[in-house]
Amino acid sequence: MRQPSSRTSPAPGLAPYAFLLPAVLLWLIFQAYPLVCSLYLSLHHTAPGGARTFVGLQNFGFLLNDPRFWLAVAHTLGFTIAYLVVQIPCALALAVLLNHPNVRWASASRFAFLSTYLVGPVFVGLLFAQLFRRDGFVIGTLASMGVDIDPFNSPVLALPLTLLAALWLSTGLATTYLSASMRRIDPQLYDSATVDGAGGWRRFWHVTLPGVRPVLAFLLLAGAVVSLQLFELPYVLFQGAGPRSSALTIVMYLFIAFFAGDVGYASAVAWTLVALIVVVGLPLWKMARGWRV
Amino acid sequence: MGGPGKTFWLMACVALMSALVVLSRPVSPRTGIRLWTFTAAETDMLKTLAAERFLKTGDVIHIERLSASVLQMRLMSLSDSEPARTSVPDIVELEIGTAGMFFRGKEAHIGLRPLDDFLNRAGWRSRLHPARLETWSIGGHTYGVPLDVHPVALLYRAGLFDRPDANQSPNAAGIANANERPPETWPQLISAAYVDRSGQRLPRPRFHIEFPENSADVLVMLLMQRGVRLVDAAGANHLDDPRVAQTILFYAGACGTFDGPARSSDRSAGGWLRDLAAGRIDVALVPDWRVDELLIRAPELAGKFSLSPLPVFDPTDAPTSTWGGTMVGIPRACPDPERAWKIIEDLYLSQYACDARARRSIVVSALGGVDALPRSFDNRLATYFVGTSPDIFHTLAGQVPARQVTSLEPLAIAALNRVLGRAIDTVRSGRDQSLQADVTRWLDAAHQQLDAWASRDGG
Repeated sequence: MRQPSSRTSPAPGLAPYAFLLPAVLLWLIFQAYPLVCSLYLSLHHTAPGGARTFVGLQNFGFLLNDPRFWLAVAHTLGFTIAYLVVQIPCALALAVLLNHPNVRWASASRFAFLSTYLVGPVFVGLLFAQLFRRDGFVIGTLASMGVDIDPFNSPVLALPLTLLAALWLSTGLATTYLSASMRRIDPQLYDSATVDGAGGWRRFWHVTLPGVRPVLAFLLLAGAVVSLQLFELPYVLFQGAGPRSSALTIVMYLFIAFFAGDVGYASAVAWTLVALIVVVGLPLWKMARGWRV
Repeated sequence: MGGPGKTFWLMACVALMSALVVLSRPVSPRTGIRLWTFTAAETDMLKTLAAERFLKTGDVIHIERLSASVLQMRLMSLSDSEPARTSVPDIVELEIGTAGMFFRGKEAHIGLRPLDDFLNRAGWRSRLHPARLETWSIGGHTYGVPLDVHPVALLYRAGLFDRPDANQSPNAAGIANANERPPETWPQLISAAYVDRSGQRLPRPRFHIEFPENSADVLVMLLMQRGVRLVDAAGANHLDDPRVAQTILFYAGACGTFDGPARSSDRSAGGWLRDLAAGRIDVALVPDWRVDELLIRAPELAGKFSLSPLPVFDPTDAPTSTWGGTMVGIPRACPDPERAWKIIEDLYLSQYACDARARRSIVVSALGGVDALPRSFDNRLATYFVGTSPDIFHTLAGQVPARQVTSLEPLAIAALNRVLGRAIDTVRSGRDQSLQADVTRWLDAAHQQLDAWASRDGG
């Protein structure tokens, strides 16, 4: 067989770097440059019109001494924990149900569950605002049964309503991921477990769960990051931070800082959020690595 | 070592040529005047007026409607970025709740152009409402032309304050008595809201007043009525004014008492109108824009409500307050402020423009001076409301308290909101023995926190 000539063989050299160059340039222009700019801004006082005064770490110092920021951190962390604690088991249960051989219309059901995610958080916010307004379907029905609640005026119910909307929005997507992951588990593993006398629960615990662990790890990490960045839902639901700031999140706090005209301070909030995401995400990421099969 | 190859060089050439084409493309010249506004009704109005102007002068005016927050964000981004400044509009309308960010920092940093020369030139300053001009002025310069005054009146269900000896002749809607008068002070109004307490184990409300628990909007109006300016032109906040604590105690007492007369209205769009229609709210503070909304969106409520000046706390208090406000200004980056000002004169200040606005809305214009404010062209208020003077908002406009727009005001209102919430919770829990001292302490802490924020700005 004739050897290919050196002229036609692909020489490594600079070619890979050259092909990477457009993507790297785009990344540098549209991602790295804004990031560096925001870091620069976070060290400055700013005013509309381009005024900048270097203040060092003063923005971060003020931020850490602002009780309102810590309120936002408490709300955001509370929401994140509640979101993950409810979403993952619900999605897991739904995925198990949808993969059960006796369930009919499984594909249609999967699409139905996923469809809530397709409409996006703004639409979900508007939908929940209609459902839960004082004479809306849910609150109106509860009122007819003698239960008088108004989540738009209740500091206690504002964050749970946001959580409900977030779960309605995203549990279907998590279910889809888990369901797809479960279908990739070798059926012979279930057969072997059944032969060994394992019941439904043990099959789930020893076969299904290890099989979906990488996806679970991804969902945990992605869910934590997304919920730490919570903004659209409470903003649409309450047009702000909610009754008595009960739905004030870190990104909402950032938004308020921006609208007070201080982009520098808002940038400091953004970098503090990045630090928080790293602090929360790192253990989850390490845990996820340990779960790899 | 092999080179990148033909494909790479071909791609690089295409990219380079594209870049050259893009960079050499001439920047399209700025044509006409760009105007940004944020309400649908105002956009329609401006388009009609601009069409008239176009016929007369041939001026091209691009009117763009954005939501208030989007307008604010785009304007700030454009003002902040040197290359994008050519895209800044020539004329912009700003709402009082979102305009504060443009009044931040040193004078040279304020994103709007001072209008003093323009206002003084043709005597406009003397014709504009002085308190509203003050709203949009800082450091001795005025940066916006006020478009409205937004005086506040008391709206109440007709017949609510009937006395047995009053005139009982029914009106067109079948409701008796056009001579009723609501109580003259706020404490009296709250007392009147309870049924006779004698023989009752617990007081029951006879009617409900819209005092939201989770928003400081009404509280801020009450404070302005009492002459408290949350933040003044020098950037000092007055949360430590004793009247703030007094008013919060009064408000929290009305909200926090078991089954008290205060009630929060539905905060969804149009929610307060549904509450009025359903009888959940009987008394509310309403600026002219809210009454405009009532006239347009709730014709079925005609003949069921009355308007009066606000009750007071002290005899020196104003019988009104103010809620909301809009200005029109010229961003600092506008290349031709003279031309922009001419357009402002035509579209906002001319007699023709004022008349057109008055035909569409009962909102009181800031133009015309306090004594000669332009009137609505019909008697919409008198026919809709029972026993109400058609001049009520124009009369109250002359007594509207001054309000300052600053970037600190939204933060002061948020702080007030938090203190109010804590006070209501304390009253509701029954552990309110030391509430006065607690409220004063919370307000002092908020005052210091806001001072710290202001000192970051050098304000």
